[in-house]
Amino acid sequence: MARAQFNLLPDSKYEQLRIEKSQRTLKGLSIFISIGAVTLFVFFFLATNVLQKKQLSDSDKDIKSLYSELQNVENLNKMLTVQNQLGSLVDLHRSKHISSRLFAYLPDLTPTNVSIGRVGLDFITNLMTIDGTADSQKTVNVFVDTLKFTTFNAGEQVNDQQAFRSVVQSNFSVGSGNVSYSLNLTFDPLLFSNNILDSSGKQIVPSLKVPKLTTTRSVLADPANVLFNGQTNQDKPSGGQ
Amino acid sequence: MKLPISTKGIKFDKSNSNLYLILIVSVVVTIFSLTSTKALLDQASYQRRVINARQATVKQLRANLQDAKSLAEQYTIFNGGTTNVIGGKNSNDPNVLPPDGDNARIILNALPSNYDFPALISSMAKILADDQIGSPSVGGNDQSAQIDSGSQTDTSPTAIPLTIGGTSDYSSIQKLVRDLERSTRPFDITSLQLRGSNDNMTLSLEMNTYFQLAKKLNLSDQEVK
Repeated sequence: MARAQFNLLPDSKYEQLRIEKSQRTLKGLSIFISIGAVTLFVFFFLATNVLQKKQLSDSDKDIKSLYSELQNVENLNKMLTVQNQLGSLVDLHRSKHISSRLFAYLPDLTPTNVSIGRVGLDFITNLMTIDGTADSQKTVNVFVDTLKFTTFNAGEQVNDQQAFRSVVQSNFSVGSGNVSYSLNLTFDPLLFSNNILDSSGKQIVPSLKVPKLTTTRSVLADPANVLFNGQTNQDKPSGGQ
Repeated sequence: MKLPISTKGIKFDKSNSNLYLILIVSVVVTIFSLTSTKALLDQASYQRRVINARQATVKQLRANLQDAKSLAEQYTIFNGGTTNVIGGKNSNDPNVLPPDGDNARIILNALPSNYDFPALISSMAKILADDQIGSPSVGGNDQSAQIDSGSQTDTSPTAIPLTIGGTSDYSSIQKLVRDLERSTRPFDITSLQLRGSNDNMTLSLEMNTYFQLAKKLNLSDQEVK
């Protein structure tokens, strides 16, 4: 059986106690929040102004010390320069044009009865100009056809590719006993490239496949029959084709 | 005469004013702390970025130092031996003439680290003379005034255009062109003109050779935002 309970406090006293309790809770809560905020502030103050400052100072010291150590490596600038130049030299040599291949190509391509008075190579536009003389226009035509149908190989990547993409006889003149000609050719840049490598990185020299339309100078190999005779069609009246 | 003042009311007011004081102080302290914390957070965030950047620099410097030591070892091997890369005698005597000399010197001759146009012209004149080229001519535009090696920082190769002319027989001209190609210093012929007969041929070449500025150890400042 439940015991009977009696509220012996008067209402005013009860109200006062309730207010005091609320005030205590409010005070406690506000003090707790303040302490929390101050703790947070102190934590971040220490982290920013003590811990991080120390980290900044330490890393600064490390940078100065390591940089000084790096500077003390003997001849470092010279070594870096040599290393840098060496890296660039490989690329520069690879990208240069091997114009001396012209001296091998010309005897292979030029028929026996054709002589050259002037030859020009422009590696920027890939244009070649050949001026010279021949015994007849027929021989010049054979020369033009030889150039047109010449192909070349350069390792696995390039197989029987046309060596001269366009061959134009830009000028000719007929004289007594010989004819003068001018040819403009567009050559494949790989013919003079120093950068054709096989799968093992070995350099490949392109090889011409010259059609056997006539006997060329490389076949004849006659020292008396000179490739360059110094005659061009500039000394003679000319026609165009 | 007794004044009609309730002691309970005074007690209540005192208690209230105490509460107000605590509340005001708490609010002030909390606002101050939170505002300061916000400022500290911004500062901490910035300092964290600086620390990260500095730590990255330290890491990079440690790697560089390791690489520098490794480079020094390799450089000693590269510059050692009795013969150099072009088959001459390996010597660090600055007075020996090519093909002798140490490998570093050969590399720096092949790709000089400064623009020296007069020296280049002299070298070309010597090559032409060695290959018996008559009426030799070497031309180009001396850009010493425009190229101030000290102020430039780009360490990639810079082309020096040159023109060469001369007269000789066909075989000497072939030899000259092959010598230029075999040279340790890269000469990239961009245009070639031959005119004349096998015995008396005129040559005209346009080509580029190169120099590349020296690489220097450089510690630079970087702004962290």
